[in-house]
Amino acid sequence: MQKKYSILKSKLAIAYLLTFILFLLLPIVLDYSNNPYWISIGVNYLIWIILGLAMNIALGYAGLFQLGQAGFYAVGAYVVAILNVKIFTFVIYGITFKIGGYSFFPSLLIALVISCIVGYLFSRPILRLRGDYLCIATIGLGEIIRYILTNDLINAPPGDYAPPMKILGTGKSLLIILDNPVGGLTGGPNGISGIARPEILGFTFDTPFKYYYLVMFFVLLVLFVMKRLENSRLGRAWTYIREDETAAQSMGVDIVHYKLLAFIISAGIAGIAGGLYAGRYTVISPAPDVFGFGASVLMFCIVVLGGIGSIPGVLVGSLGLVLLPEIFRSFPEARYLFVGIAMLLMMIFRPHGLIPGNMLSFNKKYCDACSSNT
Amino acid sequence: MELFAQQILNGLTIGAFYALIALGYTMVYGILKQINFAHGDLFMFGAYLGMTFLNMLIGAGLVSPWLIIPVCLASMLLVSALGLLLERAAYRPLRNAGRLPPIVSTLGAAIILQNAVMLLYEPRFRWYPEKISLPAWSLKIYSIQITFTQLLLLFLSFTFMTFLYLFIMKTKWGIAMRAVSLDINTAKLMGINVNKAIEITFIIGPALGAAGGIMVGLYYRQLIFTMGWNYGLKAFTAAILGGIGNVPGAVLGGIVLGLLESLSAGYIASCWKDAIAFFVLIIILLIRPQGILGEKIAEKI
Amino acid sequence: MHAQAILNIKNLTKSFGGVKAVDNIIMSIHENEMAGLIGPNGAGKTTIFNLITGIYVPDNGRIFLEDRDITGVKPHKITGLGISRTFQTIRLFKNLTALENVMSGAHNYSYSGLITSILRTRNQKKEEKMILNEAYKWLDFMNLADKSNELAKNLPYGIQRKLEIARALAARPKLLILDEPAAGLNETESNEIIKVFHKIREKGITILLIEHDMKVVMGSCSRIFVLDFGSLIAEGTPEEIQKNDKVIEAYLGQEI
Ligand SMILES: Nc1ncnc2c1ncn2[C@@H]1O[C@H](COP(=O)(O)OP(=O)(O)OP(=O)(O)O)[C@@H](O)[C@H]1O
Ligand SMILES: [Mg+2]
Repeated sequence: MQKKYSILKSKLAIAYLLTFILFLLLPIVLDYSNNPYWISIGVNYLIWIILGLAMNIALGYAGLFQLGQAGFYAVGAYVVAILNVKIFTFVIYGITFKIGGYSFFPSLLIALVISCIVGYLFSRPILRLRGDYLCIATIGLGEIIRYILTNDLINAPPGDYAPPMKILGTGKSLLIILDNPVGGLTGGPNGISGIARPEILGFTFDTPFKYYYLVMFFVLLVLFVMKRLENSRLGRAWTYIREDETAAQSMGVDIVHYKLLAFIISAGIAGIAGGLYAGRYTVISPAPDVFGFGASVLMFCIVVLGGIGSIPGVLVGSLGLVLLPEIFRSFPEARYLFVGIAMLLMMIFRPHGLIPGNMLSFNKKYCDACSSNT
Repeated sequence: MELFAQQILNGLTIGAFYALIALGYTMVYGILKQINFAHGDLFMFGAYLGMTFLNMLIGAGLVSPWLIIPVCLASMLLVSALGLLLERAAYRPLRNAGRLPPIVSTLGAAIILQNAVMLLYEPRFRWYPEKISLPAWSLKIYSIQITFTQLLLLFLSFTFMTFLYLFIMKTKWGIAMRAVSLDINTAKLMGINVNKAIEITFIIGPALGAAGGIMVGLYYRQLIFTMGWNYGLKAFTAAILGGIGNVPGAVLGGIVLGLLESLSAGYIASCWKDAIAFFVLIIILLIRPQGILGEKIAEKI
Repeated sequence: MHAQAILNIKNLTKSFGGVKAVDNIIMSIHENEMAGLIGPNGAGKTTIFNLITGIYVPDNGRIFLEDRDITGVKPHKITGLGISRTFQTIRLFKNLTALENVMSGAHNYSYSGLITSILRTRNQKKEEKMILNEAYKWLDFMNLADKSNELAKNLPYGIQRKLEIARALAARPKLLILDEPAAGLNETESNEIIKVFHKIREKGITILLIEHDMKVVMGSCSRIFVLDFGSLIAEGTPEEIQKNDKVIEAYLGQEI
C-alpha cells in the first residue's frame, strides 16, 4: 500500500514538473512562432489561475459559498491604479506629506494589505450566515463595492478649483489635496487610465512576454502558499468546517476565526490578481463582467468545474473558461454559447469536476509519515 | 409629499414586477432548496418572445391592445416549456450531486439563453412595437399621476399572484408541492409523485416570469439581452427579503424592494438605489435571515 | 461516596418555543465514574449535551467543569477545557479519511497558524508529527488502524460510530460525553463498545453516556440519571433505577 502511494506521489510530482516546464516554455514557443496574441491570452489565463486559487481557498477549502470575490479583485486593481496615478497631499498643522504616485510593486503590496482589510471588514458581519444566505450577502457586498467604484465617492464639484488640483477636505488643522483629479478618486464609470507598467531596477514589464513571467512568479508564490496550507493545521481546520461546522466546533475549531482567515487570505490573493490586471492593461473600469457579479460567477465556476478543493482542478478549470471563448473566436458571436453548453454538459457528466479534490485526497500525502510510523 | 406619493406608486409598480419574478425563485427554492440562476433569463426570454409575437401580429395587419392577452399566454406557454427543459437538463440529472453542481449547470443554462437571445435578436436595445400600446389615459389624484398601464400591470400582477396562492393552498398538486418542499423523502414515501410536483413548479415559475417579462416590456418598452441578470438578482433579493420558499413572502419582498429602490432613487440618488437595496438586504439577512415572513428553522443537533 | 465532582449542573433550564426541553436540572458527575443519562424519546437528553458543550446557551442555570463556570462559553473553548463528545446522528467529516477525522481532535492542543505553516518552521513540523502520532494512537486504541486511509463516508456504520469515539478521545478530554454510541449496532458490536468503555475509563477519563440500549447502560454505568419531559425523575445505581416506580411509569410497558 505504501508503495502504491509513493508511486502515486512521484507520478504526481512528475505531472507537476511537466506542467511547470510547459508553462515556462509556452511563451517562448509562442514568441518564436510570432504569436503575441496568444501570449496575452496566456497572461490572462495566469491571472485567472490566481483568481481561481483564491476562490478555492474560500469555496474549496473552507466551503464558504462566496459570490462576491470580484469585489476584492476590484479593490486590488483600484488600489494599484489610484496609488500609481493620483497623489494626495495632506497638510496637517502645517506639516505636509504626500501619499501616492507610487510605482507598481509598492502599490501592489499596499493593495494586498488593503484587500485583506476590506476582506475582513466585509466578511466579519456576515460570517454567521450559512450556505445560500452567505452567498446572497456576498453577492450584495460585491455589488456594493462595484457601485462605490462606479459612483466615485470623492468627486468635488467641477470648476471650483482649477485642475490638476482639487481640495478634498479642508479645515484649520487638516487639508487634503488630490493631484490629478481627472474623474475624482475612482474615475466613475470611465475608470482610471494611464497606470504605469511594473518596473523593477530599471527593467519594465512592458510586453505580454515579460508580463507572463511576472504573473507566473505570483502564480507560483500563491501555489506555494496553498500547498503549504493545504497540508497544515490551518488547512485541515478549513476542511473540517467545510465538512461539518458543528462537528468542527465540537472538536475545538474556532469557526469564526478560521472562516475569517479564509476570507482574508482569499481576498488578499484576489487583490494581488487585481493589481496584476491593472498593471497589465494600464486601464481599468468597473464593468460588471470585469469586476462585478459576472466575474465572481466565473471564479466560482472555475473551482466547481475543475473540482472543488483541487489545485490541478483550478489550472484546468481556468484553462477551460479562458480558452474556450478563444478557441471559438472564429464564431465571435456564439462563443459564449459554447461556454454555457460546456458548463451544462460538464456538470451532467462530471458533476464533481474534471479533477475532483479527493481523487488526490490528503491521505496520500501522509505516505511518508505512514512509513515512518509503522 | 407629492414626490413621496409618486415614488411610492412607482415603487409599487416596479415591486410588482420583482414579485412576479421572485415567485419563480421562491418556488424552486422551496421545493429543491436550490437557487435557479437561469430564472432571470427565462424572464428575459419571455419579454423577447412577447415582442416577437406582437410584431408578427402587426405584420399580419392586426393592431389592437387586446392582442396582448393571446401574446402573453403564448409566451407563457413557450417559456414554461423551456422551464421544463431546464429542469430535465440542468436539475434532474444532478438531483443527488450535492449543492454546487446545479448552480453551475443553471449558470450554464443562463449563459446559453442569454447568448441565444443575443444571436437571435442582435446585441442591441430592442423596442416593443409602438403601434401596440395601452391607452394613454391616466388618473390624477391631487397631483399624483397613475397611468392606465400602471393600474393594469398592478392588477394583473396581483391577479396572477392570487391564483398562484389559491393553487398552492387549495389544489391537489399545490398540496403535493408543499409536501415536497417540507421533506422530499417523506413526500416520496407518502406516495406523492415528486417528479411531477417539481415539473409543475418549473411550469408555473417560468410562466409567471414570462408574464413579468411582457409587462416590463410594455412598461419600459425597451429590452436588452442582459436584462435577465439585473432583474433576476433583484427578484432573488426580493424572494430572500420576504422569506425564501414562502409565496406571499416573495410578493411582499418584491414590493418592499421596489419601494425601497424608488424612494432611495427619489430622495438620495438614483445611482445609489441598487447599492442601497443590497445594503438593506444584508441588514435583513443579519437581523432576520429567514426573511420577513419566513419561519425560523433551527438546526437540530 | 464523596468523590470529587468533575461536572456540576445547577438549575439548568432550556426551552424551545413553548416546550421546556430541559427543566431545572441538577446533576453532578464524579471524577472517573461512568454515568448514564436515560429517558424516553424527546425527554431532553441531547439538549443537555448541547448545553454542556456550549452549542446551546441555557435560559437559566449554570454549568461548572471542575471549579470553572463554563456557562455560555463557546463550544470550541469548552473542548479545550476538557469536554469532548459524539453525536446522536453520526457527524464525521464524511469526505475526509479516518485519519484526518481523528487528527481534528488534536486541534485544541496544537498551535501552528498561518505564518508558521507557510514557513514550515521546526516547531510546526514537530507539531504535525505529534498530531499524526496522536491520531494513530487513538485509531489503534479503537482497533481502527487498518482503516486510517479510508474516507469516513465509505466506512460501515458500526465503524463510523467507533471512529467518532476515536475522534472525541483524540481531543484529550477529561470528560467524554457519548450520545447513543450503541444505537444501530448489533449484539457483537455493542459488546465491543462496552469493552471500549472500560478501556477508556482505565485511562482516567470520565464518561457520561446517553443510551437507549438498557443492556449497555445497566452493564456499564455505575450511576444513572433518568429524565422525563425535561425533568430529572430519578438518580441512582442501576439496581435502584430498575426498581424505581417513577421510572417504570415513565417507560410504561417497556422493559428496563
Ligand atoms: N433546536 C431545537 N429546536 C426546537 N426544538 C428542539 C430543538 N432541539 C430539541 N428540541 C425539542 O426539545 C425536546 C427534547 O429533545 P432532545 O433531542 O433533547 O430529546 P432526547 O431526549 O435526546 O430524545 P431522543 O431519545 O429521541 O434523542 C424535544 O421536544 C425536541 O423536539
Ligand atoms: Mg437525543
